[in-house]
Amino acid sequence: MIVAPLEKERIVISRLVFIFMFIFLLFRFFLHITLSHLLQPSLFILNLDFSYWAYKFSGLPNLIIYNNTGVVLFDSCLFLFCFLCIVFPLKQIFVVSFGFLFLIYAITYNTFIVHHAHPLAVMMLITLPFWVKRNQSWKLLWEGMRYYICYIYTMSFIWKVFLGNTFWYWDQGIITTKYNLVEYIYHNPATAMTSIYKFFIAHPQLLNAGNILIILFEGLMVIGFFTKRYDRYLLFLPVIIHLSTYFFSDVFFIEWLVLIFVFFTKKDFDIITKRFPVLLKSFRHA
Amino acid sequence: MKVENLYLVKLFYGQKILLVVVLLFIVLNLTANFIFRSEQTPIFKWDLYSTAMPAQSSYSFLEVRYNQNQLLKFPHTWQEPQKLFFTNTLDYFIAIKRNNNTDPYKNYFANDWSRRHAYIKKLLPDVNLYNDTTEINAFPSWYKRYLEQYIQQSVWRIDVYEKKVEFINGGLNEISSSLIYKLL
Repeated sequence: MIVAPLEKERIVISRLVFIFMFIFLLFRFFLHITLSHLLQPSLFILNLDFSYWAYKFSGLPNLIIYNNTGVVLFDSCLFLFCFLCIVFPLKQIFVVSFGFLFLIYAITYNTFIVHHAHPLAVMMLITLPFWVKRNQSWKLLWEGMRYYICYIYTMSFIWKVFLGNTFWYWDQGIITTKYNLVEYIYHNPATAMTSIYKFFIAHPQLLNAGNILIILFEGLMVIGFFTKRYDRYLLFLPVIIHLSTYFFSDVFFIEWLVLIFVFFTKKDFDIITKRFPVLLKSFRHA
Repeated sequence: MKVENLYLVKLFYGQKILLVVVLLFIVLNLTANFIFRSEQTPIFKWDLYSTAMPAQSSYSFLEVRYNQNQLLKFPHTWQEPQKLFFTNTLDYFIAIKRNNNTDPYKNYFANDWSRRHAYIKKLLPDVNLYNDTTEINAFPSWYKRYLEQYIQQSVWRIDVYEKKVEFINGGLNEISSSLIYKLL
């Protein structure tokens, strides 16, 4: 059967996104931080955040955290629905179910690490465009997601330059590195990474300049609002930003890189589908 | 650039419902960031590391030793998402202990927020928004279970130390180390 180009694009993008998410869910599974591994944690933090309040009031923690059957069922469904989204990328029921399950997972994770952390924020949002049935609506939402990603980095730039003061504070790079990595360096004095960190700590100008450069890279994402011509290059900025902040500041936002798919151009898709034609296989009409 | 190619114009002609949703999200997010400078639920505020961190002459952190003085250690930085379950929760537990065994949020919710928003409080279900005695008392046994899962051996003793260190000549110098809590 002939698949329309837009549907083709949707199938490939869906699969790339959900494969990425599946891999990182596995990563979290082996790190023992999926819900069935949490072993009924006790302390929590809701903050003044209504989503977390709604989560608590709904009684969900009793079902998926403090219930042995419920927690195993939740984890199984989380993985199963992510897998089903890869196999049947056009079946909304699977995508919507997985989107909700992932949102619940992210809120639960943040609640019980007693810190409303950002690493899962983009994954929480990125499934939303796939919730709609019509391919034209999906395309519009996917385009909106691209703008939103540009907005996130631009906003971060604005915060650091105009609302906060990090950009104007030269020592921020070295201070962040010391603050975030002191414990690692203390407990792992003989590793290669510690030697690298020590080198950079001994040369703070490199870290401080790197910090300014990262903020400027965030600011460069504003280009995405005005043209798509540079998407192939914009794609690398989040990669550089998150790898740098991971290595030099121990800020583990690698899961954010699911966002790079919003910058894929037609040329990128042609290359990918030529290399991996299985990504195009549709089971919708099977 | 042609006007009809603008994203919001395409939404206007193609999907009016989506246009309303997108505009609402934009307004809420911009209002949250620029006016209230706070989070738009559940998380969407992008101000991480936007406030300058003051220089410190020394750094403090908690260190966990279990059984026969074995160190709880995370050899890889990519273990961060897991490490948070050990370090953040323990930090918070110690903060509760130092606050007369009371969750700092209890002070806020019970003594401040609930009084200022009595009409909302009345509408909410009778569920604690903070940790109470049950959660606090359950923490040590949960920590033991979670630690056992991580190190794959049974744990019969957990000591929490507070370390204070300083950077000197590219290396670290320990200033002090004190046992602050016996978790088990």
